[in-house]
Amino acid sequence: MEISMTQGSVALSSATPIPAKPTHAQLKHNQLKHTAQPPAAQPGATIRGSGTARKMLTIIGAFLPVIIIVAICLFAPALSHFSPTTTVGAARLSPNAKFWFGTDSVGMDVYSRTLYGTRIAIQFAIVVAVLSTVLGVLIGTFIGLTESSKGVISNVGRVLNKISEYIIAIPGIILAIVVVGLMGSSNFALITSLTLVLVQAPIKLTRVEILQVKRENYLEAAQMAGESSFESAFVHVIPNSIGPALRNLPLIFGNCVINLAALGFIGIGVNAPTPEWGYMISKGISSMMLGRWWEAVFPSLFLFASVLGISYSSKAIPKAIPLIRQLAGRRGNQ
Amino acid sequence: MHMHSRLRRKISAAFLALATVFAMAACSNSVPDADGSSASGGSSSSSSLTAAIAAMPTSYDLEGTWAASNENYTIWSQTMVNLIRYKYVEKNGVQVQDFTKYEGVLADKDNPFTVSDGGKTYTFHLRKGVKSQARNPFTAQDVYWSLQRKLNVSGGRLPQIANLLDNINQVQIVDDHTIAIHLHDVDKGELLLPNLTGQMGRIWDKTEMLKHVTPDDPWATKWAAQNTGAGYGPYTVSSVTEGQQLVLKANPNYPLDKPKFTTIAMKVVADSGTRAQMLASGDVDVSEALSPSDATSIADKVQLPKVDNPTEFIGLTLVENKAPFNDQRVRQAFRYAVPYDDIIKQIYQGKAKASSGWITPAMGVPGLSAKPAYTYNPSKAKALLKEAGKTSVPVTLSVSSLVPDIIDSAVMISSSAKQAGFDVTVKQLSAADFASGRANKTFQALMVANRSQAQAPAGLDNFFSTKGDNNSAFAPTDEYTGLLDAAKNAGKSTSKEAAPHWQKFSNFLNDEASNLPMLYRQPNQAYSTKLQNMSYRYDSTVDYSILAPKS
Repeated sequence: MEISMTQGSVALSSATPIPAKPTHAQLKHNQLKHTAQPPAAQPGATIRGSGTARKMLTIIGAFLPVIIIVAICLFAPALSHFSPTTTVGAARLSPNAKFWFGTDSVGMDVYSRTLYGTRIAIQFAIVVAVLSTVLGVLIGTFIGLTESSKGVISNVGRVLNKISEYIIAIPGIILAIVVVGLMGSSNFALITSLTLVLVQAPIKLTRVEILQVKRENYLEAAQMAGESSFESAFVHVIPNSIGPALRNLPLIFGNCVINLAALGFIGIGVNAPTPEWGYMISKGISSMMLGRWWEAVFPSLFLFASVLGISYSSKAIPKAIPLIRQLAGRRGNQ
Repeated sequence: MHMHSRLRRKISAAFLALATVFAMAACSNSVPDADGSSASGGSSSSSSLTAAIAAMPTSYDLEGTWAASNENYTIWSQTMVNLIRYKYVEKNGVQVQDFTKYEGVLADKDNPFTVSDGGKTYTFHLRKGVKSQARNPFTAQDVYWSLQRKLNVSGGRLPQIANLLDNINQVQIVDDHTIAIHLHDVDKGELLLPNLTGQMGRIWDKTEMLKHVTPDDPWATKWAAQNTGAGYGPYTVSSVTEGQQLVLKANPNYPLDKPKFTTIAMKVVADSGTRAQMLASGDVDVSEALSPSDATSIADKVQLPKVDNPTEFIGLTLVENKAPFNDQRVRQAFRYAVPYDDIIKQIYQGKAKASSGWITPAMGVPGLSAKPAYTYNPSKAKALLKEAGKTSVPVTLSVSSLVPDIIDSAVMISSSAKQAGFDVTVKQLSAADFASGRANKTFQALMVANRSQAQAPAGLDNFFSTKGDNNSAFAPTDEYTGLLDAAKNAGKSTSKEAAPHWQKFSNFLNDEASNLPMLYRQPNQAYSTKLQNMSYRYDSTVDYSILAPKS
């Protein structure tokens, strides 16, 4: 280091003369010049400013699809022009100023039905996602805690685990069709079938996590301190194992939207005339062959965009959360 | 940066997908021009014809294995014939059957039967020299065996025959080509001929059928459900590609005029819009079971048969033994909650008319009211509900997911009935579930396409019989039986004397409001412009045996 510094000074001294000490006037001039410079000339401030903007953009971008979808759900009555379940015009009108997305085979407004379709899809998705996650965590915890123990209860755990494995082997949509076929078409049957299909992932994720957590020493300590297995499961095990299942929740949400539309498409979804995307697409396919594209294309686009948006947000939000914390922390420091 | 590039890739993929969707929509935006040689018969040679049907038939023997579907009716009508049929009369380019005139098919063409014994004995004069599809000679033994089979096999709609003949001893073979049927009552004569003409009057080749009987199946129902060739119809099924196609070959021994098209290829195309598009572009020559709007979309490129008095109807059944329709006022209120005119205009594109009741003009009862039995009147509906002590009534209306115009009609009812105080949920069921629910009478309300094959008012009793699956709603009362008997005893249904009695019977059924036709719809087939002899017959199927290229 010393050598290099020495060499540097030598080189410097040989290349350029050592500047003379600046005069007061020069200093003042320089000071004025600095003052007149735009903020970009201050390196430290620039990096901080653009980073914050980028973080803000990332956070907004992560939440925007979800915000739009939720807004459509909440404000569907205000955004739509007509009742989604009432005949309001002539059948099969192409898109026009009055009916933005045209009308369907019975003269209902496709725009209003498509907007309300968001509401139906999201309502089902919320219920199924929450139900699947809660049940998945509980069943996964039970399996994880009991399957390697002894006694009747362990057999129950092992049987549940096997059942879950068998169910995973059945294609989801087929399982849903069978369940709806057995139970009959109703909202309850749809929720049950979709939950049965989508609960398997949280069960498996939680079980694996439980198998790791239950080896932790603090559980032994808790039991030695007199805590029952039930208490320690709810106080220690579940809170420490719930992470993967929670991170999987948006995936269930998106899958539920797709599966609901698939069931509607094959005619066993929600009852007509409830505005549901799959049913609307299925009804519109026949028309599409004869050039009446609007009945199927608009609900298809909404289905596509919402699943894409949910998928994007589900990946982007976890990445945005640390940024939110960083920004919140900086504000706190200021 | 990494995340942004991934986002860019996703957005690019999204736009690519959108572009594909729009390109597909644009491609299908116009129906290909049907001008030129491919307009019709593009797929057909001079002796072959291609038809698009909605599904494969499930049974070739509707006596042994009943399953109501357009496709089953179609094959049953191409492969089997009866002693007699209704005469064809050409109207507006369509060969329409006149339900009051008969001609011989297996019976002599011009003198098929004589009536004696004061109207109790019908003697059929059989054609000579006729051979079956299996080349066996046709005799009175075949007719006798066929009637015996109808009285013995279970299933099907054979109670209609059993109501006329309670014993095979009523059938007498006079000689090889003469057979007589002795009825107990004169009034049954009016139903005997329509039933022998209709779907349950098919005649089998006894010799061929006996080859396929087994100890467990003495009437060869299992064989007949899956095979043809033991009848006298214009065609037999020559090959089947399961789920895709069925090929019919002409029967060289057919006793009537030889079919112009000796090969009929029936392609299964599940979607109505695709069937319509295929006909418009010349890929097929006939498309069956089109939705009215799809048929209208291609109207300028094809031929759509139109008849003066359609007999096929959309029935709306309100099941009497279940709440809320166990109250006549609620049933009537619901009838007033149906937007008949809107359904006819929006869904049927004007190709239907509101029903005045069960008795159609085709039945020939003189001076019968043609006024619609009900019109859309939500105020009247509400008043009736109020009278019944109700304000808001939830209703589940069941329909088959196979029939798009019925689903749309049900959706329109649910939309309009709100104003009349009904909260209607439309329940779409698979064809099998719907048939099962209908037969087991588990629905609250249902809609179904149907027709009275016996176009005689006395034949309407079949729709109110507790034996068949036609009646999901009604338990015949003394009043019903009294009115029906009075009408039957008043003479021929086409007489002026009987007409007022049939009017009373019709009014009674309209007031009961449980099981009623809602509207009568036009045929749902479409034909290439290069064909002639479109047909409209009692079972609403295409008669391929009379179709011919336009000269």
